Amino acid sequence: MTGLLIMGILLICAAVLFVLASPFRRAPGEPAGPEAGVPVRPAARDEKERLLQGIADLRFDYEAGKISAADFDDENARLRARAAALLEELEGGPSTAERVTRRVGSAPTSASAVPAPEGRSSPG
Amino acid sequence: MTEATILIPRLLLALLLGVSGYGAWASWTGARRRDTRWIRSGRNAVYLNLALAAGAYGFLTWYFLTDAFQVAYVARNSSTLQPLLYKFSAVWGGMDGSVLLWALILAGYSAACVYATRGRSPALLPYVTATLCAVMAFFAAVLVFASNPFRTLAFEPLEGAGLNPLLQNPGMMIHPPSLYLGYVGWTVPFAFAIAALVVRKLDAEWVVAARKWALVPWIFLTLGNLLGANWAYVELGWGGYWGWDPVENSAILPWFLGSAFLHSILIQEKRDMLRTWNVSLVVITFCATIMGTFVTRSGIIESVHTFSESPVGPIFLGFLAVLALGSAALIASRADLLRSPHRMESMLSRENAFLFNNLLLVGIAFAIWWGTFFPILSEAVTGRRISVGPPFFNQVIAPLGLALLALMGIGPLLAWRRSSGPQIRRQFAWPVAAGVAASLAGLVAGRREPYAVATFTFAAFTLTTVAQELARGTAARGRIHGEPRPLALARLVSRNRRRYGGYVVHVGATCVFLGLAGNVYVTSRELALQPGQRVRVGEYDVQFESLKMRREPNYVAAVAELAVSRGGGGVRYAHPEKRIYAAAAEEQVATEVAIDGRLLEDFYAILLEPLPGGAGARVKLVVNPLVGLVWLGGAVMVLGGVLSLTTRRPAGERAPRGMSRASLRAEREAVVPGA
Repeated sequence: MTGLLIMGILLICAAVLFVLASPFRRAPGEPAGPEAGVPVRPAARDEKERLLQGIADLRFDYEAGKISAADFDDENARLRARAAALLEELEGGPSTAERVTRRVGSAPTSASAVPAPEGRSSPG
Repeated sequence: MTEATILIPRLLLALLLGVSGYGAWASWTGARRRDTRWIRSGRNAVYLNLALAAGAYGFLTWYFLTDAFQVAYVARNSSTLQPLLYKFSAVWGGMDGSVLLWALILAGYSAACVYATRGRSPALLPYVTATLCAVMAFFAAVLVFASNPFRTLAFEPLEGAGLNPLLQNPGMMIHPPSLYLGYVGWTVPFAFAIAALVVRKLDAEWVVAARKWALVPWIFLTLGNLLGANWAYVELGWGGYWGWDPVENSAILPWFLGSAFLHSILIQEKRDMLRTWNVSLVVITFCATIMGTFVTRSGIIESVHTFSESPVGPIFLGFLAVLALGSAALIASRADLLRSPHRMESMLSRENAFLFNNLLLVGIAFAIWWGTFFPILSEAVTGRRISVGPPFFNQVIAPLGLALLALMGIGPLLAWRRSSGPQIRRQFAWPVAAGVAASLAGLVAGRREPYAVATFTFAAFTLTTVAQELARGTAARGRIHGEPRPLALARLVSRNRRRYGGYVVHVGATCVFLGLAGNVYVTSRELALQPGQRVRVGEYDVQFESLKMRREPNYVAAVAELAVSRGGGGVRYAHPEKRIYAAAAEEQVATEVAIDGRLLEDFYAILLEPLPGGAGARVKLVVNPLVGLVWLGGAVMVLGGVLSLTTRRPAGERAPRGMSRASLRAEREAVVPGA
């Protein structure tokens, strides 16, 4: 009984050491990343998704009558400009408002009818 | 059980301490050296912690099931007569086992977090892992050195003392684990905040990563508090469900703080504001969970939860001090990075409503903390221990709660950044009309109690806000996607579960407020009754039929039979009991109330004591209006939280390997409500 117990204790300790030491048995100098074989997801991708969601939320709030056309245009332009820049950073190629529009749809025509200050992207 | 086999669970606890300490060190070292081998080893330590804690917990459960009374903890909390169900719950029925349960849950959360976030936020995660392991090391140290459930007695008693009768209730199978899942879960968002502070990355990234890990414990805290209130209602036998007991207060405190956090992170996500507030709030919430444990375990304040007192209170107090001071120093050292780049633009904005909501929630939490700890504070200052009772809490918290109820209706009506006059008029017209109508209806019906009338008014306002949000949202979606109304409504909710899950929580909270307002109309009578005697309580006619004795394996019960009819209707029978549990060294008495529950009213009977002679009894009869809405509302809140938790993840958050195709799908769906 005591022999079995000692063997059990040794086995448990060996298993713990085996698991903790397993990363060191791999070749050193692997590319940074906490998990082998799992690509690291760029933080910009998360931000892009938040922005696209934000644009959609904004449009929804506008359609539901919560914000004025002027506020919608202002915020929509800001979010779309940032989303376009991120798309360019993540996927390369030209950064255009059309690319963002392709992803999240166009803004409602009523907001587009509101004259926008110079430099503001068209929500339509 | 042999003395030898107890060595294995003891070894598991010692390994838990060693591995968690190693995990913290390895993760920290790996992050500092940018060496992925150390980081991976630290992550493996987290998975090992789960296996070790589960192994130790399995051993303890086995000792309970086999009545291994040589284990001192089993002898104190179980007996051969104890029903099987309560042998399972007895594992956490005392101090040592509950700390082990805490460690097991923390190991589970940590492993889930490490697994779910692999491949993401490479800068933050090693520090998240290090923090989780460090907290685990503390609990493992408590288990090994101060509260070891595997201590043995010099002899094996033939019988154990048995589980405290108050804990022999089906709700106790779920209430403590739910609360623990709520308490312990806050370790994960806390770890994200600490990691963000360490790596000086204090933008929205950490709050986005921490949101779901905050929502899970919030749901469990809601469930745990609800079950705790229900336990007090059916088991403690005083007629109510919330007595502002210090341990109850300690459980609800992190709930209020966590609710504030779940709202304020939205502002940081949307507007990158309240950075300092959010890191501080999550640290305070986590500290509140440790403080709750300290209050429960130390016995420094008198409580109905005295069964869980132990000498580990000061250890938790020390840990709390280290956490609070260390976190405060870390936050102060990052003050320059915590300044938000944006400012509030208008008082009439959603972020401002959220800010007020936060102030109210934190204000309520502070009032609860103050009332709970006032006996200690007063003793420290004046030398006299002065307790504040329910009147203090009711007077301070009721108005704050009403303001919170009103804000639940106001917030969703406001736009981010600012709202214009015409929009406010359009958004507020129906909710205000509903509130005024409810107020007038209450007055016409003769309800003049200010708090009750205010609750009905604000509840109508808030419920109309939610209905309006659904109606206008459905219409907007119908316009955008050309969908018929039923389809638009279904997709509106299913495609934006976070927002509409939140509204469901608001509906549930409103129901709870209405239930609380019912307290104003409680009717209660306490009297001695003989067989055949009739009394009237509110609308109820009650006849005392008989008093009988019932013998069960682990207790003897005196059972009264009451014939109850409401307004001359059909008769129902209520059977309140007084039980004496004899398995313990000294007899323990417990009350089992009888509740005749209806949708909007409970008839509640308590057997206080049998009268000399054995035929009659002293009873307390209570009519509790609207109490069912508290349970219903709580359940709806939990459902809303779950709905919000099941928000469709943007596809890129799924398997990183399928990132590009999946993220395109997410972007298509991001047109909310999506395509």
